Amino acid sequence: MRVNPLVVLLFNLLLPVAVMFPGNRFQHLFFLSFASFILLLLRRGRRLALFLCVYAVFLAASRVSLWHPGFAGGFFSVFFYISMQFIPCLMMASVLIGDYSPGELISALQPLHLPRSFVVSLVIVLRYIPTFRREFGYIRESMRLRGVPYSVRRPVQSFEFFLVPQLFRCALLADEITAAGLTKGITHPGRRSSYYDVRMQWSDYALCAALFLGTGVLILWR
Amino acid sequence: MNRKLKMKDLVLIALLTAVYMLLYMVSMVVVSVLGPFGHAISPGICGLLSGAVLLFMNRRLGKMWEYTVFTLLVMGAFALMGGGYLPWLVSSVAMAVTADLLASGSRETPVWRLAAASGLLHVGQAWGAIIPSVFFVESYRSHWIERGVSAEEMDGYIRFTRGAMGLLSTAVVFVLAALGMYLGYLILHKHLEKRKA
Repeated sequence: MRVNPLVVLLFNLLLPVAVMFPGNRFQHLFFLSFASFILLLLRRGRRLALFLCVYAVFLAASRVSLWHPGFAGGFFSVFFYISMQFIPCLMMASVLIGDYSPGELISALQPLHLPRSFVVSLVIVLRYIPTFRREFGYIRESMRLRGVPYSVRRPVQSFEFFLVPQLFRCALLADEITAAGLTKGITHPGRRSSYYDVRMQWSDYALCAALFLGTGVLILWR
Repeated sequence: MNRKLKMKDLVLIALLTAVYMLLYMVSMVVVSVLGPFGHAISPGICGLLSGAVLLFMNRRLGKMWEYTVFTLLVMGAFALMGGGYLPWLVSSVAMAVTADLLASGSRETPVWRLAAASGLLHVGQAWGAIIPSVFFVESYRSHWIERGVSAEEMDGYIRFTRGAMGLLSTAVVFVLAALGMYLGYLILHKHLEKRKA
């Protein structure tokens, strides 16, 4: 089964709003259950298990921190607890980044009537965050192999070796991506057709309704 | 020379935004060990690390609204990942527009102006946390006290985003981000000059 990316987007827009109105202990459980349900619908059980493990670690760390009264204990308790609040968002973001192709995302965001150039740029950001993270790892590895590892004695130079290649690579990559995009008609002003069926289904509307209803009730019932 | 942003420029801004977001995540990890004050100045730490990215953007593009588009993309990506927050968006975009008016006119913008622009850009991000704390702090305070954090500890966190401490956090963020631009210049200027030559 597929879930429309707009449902994921709606979830990730509603949760931060709901977090601004704390007080209902079921609110967080609702969002966590909803995100878990979506991952189960998409048959991403292993990913769900991984997120729940991280959640359990944060929950335990938050509780353990409270055993140590004082500023640091209280701070880390709050820090872990607030991090836990956003794990459902990360679960949904993993769906956006991992389960949809850039073309699908662009098509799904089309009904929002955002400027196309902005949508394309946004999808590029999402697509390249994991790629660059991997590439930073390669740069670090090649620095180690060439005998120029990170050194706290030369922080500026280490930072330079680390960052500069990636910046110049961005400039080259921008040319390649633009050329590929122009070939595919990315600047064409007409409505973009899509190979993917990204229309909202009744199940997507049902999920949106449940999300709105649940969020509204839990904000008002405090 | 056409000063309007073209598709290729937007793609470059998007790629640099992806690099910036990774640096943002690194800075979040760094500040997590610095306690509540670290959290209040986290945009400044990010500015310190990412000055080179903003400098590179200016030297490659030097076009009006580059920082506004960049900020909108950062906010858009955070919104898609669940970090979207209206007061943060408003303060960040307002300061990004100011930064553009100050520094995005050309590829040869002096470094001090870029440093000021980076400072403003990151102060805008910091205000996203500082300004709402004035409105929502009471509900958070009572929520955490209910959960077992003592009133004194809670007031300890809050004070870093209010009153004089809020102003101090703002100043620290501005200075760190401006320093980040000079750090960026230090590591990039010879590479950029080599390319120009």
